[in-house]
Amino acid sequence: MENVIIASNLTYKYGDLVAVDHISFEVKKGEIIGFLGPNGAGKTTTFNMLVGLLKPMEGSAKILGMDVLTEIKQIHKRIGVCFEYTNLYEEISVLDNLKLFAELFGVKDFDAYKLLKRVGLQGKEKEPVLTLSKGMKQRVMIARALVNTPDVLFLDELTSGLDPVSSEEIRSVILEEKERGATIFLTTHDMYEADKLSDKVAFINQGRIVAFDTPHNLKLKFGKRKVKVLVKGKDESLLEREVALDNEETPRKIFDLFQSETVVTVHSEEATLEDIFIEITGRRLAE
Amino acid sequence: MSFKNILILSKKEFIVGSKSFIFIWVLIMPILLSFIMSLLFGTFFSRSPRLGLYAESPSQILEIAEDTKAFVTIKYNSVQDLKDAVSKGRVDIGVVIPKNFDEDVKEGIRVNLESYVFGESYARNRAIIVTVLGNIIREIAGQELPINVISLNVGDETSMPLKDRFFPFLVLMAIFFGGLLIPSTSFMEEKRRKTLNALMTTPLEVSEVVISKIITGSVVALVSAIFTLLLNNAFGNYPLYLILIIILGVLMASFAGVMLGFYIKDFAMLISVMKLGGIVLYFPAIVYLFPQIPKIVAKFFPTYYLLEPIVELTKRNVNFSSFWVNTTICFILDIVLGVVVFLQVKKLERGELFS
Repeated sequence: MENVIIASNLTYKYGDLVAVDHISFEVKKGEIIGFLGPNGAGKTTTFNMLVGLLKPMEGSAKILGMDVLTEIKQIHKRIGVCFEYTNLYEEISVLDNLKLFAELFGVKDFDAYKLLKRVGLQGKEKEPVLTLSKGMKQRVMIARALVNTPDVLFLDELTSGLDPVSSEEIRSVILEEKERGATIFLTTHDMYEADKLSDKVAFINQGRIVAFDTPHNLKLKFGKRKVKVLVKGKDESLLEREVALDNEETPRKIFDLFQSETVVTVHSEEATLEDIFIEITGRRLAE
Repeated sequence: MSFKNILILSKKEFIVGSKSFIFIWVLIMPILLSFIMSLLFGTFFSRSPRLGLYAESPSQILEIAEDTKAFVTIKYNSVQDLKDAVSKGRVDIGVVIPKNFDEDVKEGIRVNLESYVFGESYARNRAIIVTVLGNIIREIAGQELPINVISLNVGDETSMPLKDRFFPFLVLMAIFFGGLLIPSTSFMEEKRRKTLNALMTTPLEVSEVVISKIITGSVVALVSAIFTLLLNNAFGNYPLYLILIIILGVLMASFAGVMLGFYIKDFAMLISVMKLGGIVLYFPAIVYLFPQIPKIVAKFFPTYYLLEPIVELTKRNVNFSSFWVNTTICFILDIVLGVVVFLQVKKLERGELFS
């Protein structure tokens, strides 16, 4: 399968601070890649270099076979970008916002109503953006990123600060886009989102990619399975005990637990991406 | 560069801009000030004197009166029409020229002129009409005035009425309010709200965004300036030249506006810059307002070369040699500013302002 995004040694500095430090990765057609890392890790800087808002200081990147330094306007015709912050024209209506961008992309027979229905905003077409809630604005942002039916979607912190229902609806739109064949570059510090949406996850920390694989492989490679046991304490309160699996001591520890304490529940658990991130970097994603 | 994209963006600028306070303010402010000045100095309600004439037989009075600039002459086809016009205030005075009037006055026969006076007309207007009409009749009778009036100006523009001295300030404000504020605030807002980032991830070129803002600022400033001229009855005898100069002015203002927009981060900073820069922009107008200040000082300020041709065309007899010199300097200033804007656009295209 062809590589739609190829980044080679991408580097960017803000003064003396190296925000992105020689990172390289590839994304195949139709894949969703999740860039996972805490705030300040270099996710948005990488995002901005790929969409042409920042010029890489070293290295290069190709999107759809075109160089971001020399062919960015050709690239822009075929990508959709959704930013972390709301940057809509708030004074004008939802419909006018979408129509403006459809005209700028030269989209013929643009059906804004159909697109707004997809993101759950039917009936809100004529409303000025400034009257919408944050979740609704984010849906308009997604709709705007889709006006030109892009081959590649760049999504920065897609569901940051949204309620669970809005987040879930937006995720389902993204999965529909994947079904359509779009390639998706997603930055997030939400390990649940990365796990749920991404075909591949890149852990980025202090400007460097420290791990890059499918969530499943990462869990196999770095994760430690464990058993979580809830036991009753002396004052009838519930206490949590963890026993690591894949260990010679495991059978004896579980036996001891059952013998010495009143076991309420037993659950086997696999490592989360957050656990793996902490194991690799020593940092939490929410930092 | 795509003209279609520039049109789409300009339309967006007008739609989004028209909902902002700044946009409405820059359009209304010069017009409002013109109204205030006109109310204070009485331009609206004291129009030029108007004389209505009905001649029972052909008379030279009609031609000579039409040529005079002291009042407006309107001819009527009957005494009744003339009376109606006077009673409705369309003219200040209506005069019936009797049969064989020219011949009679040339022969020295005393003729009675029947005239109708609109009761609410200004005494000033009546006095002007009666005096000038008397001179015209003397001319027809072949009589010369027994006196020579020698006029000596005391000072220069100090003798100009305050309204006329304030006029350059109004024009400059109309041009620079819209031309400067609209592109600068629009650019500043696009950066602050990061809508510029959204535009820059579409196939748009930076130059298209910049040109659309220059067009919007220029159009609003042009409309505002034309309204100001209309309200001050100051289109003069060369309206096309005047509009040409104003176009040079609004371009100068819009170029400066986008330059400000590139660097200014918020409204407070813009106001600070405008306070400092205002003296550079408006100093030539201040020189007109206070003619005691030597005019040569104004020549050190770029807006002088815009203002002087406008004032020449609107308020005085035009001296075309100095007019073309000043207009050429104004044009050169536009070219220089245009080149600076172009270089900034190239810098933006290299992404240096986004970092």
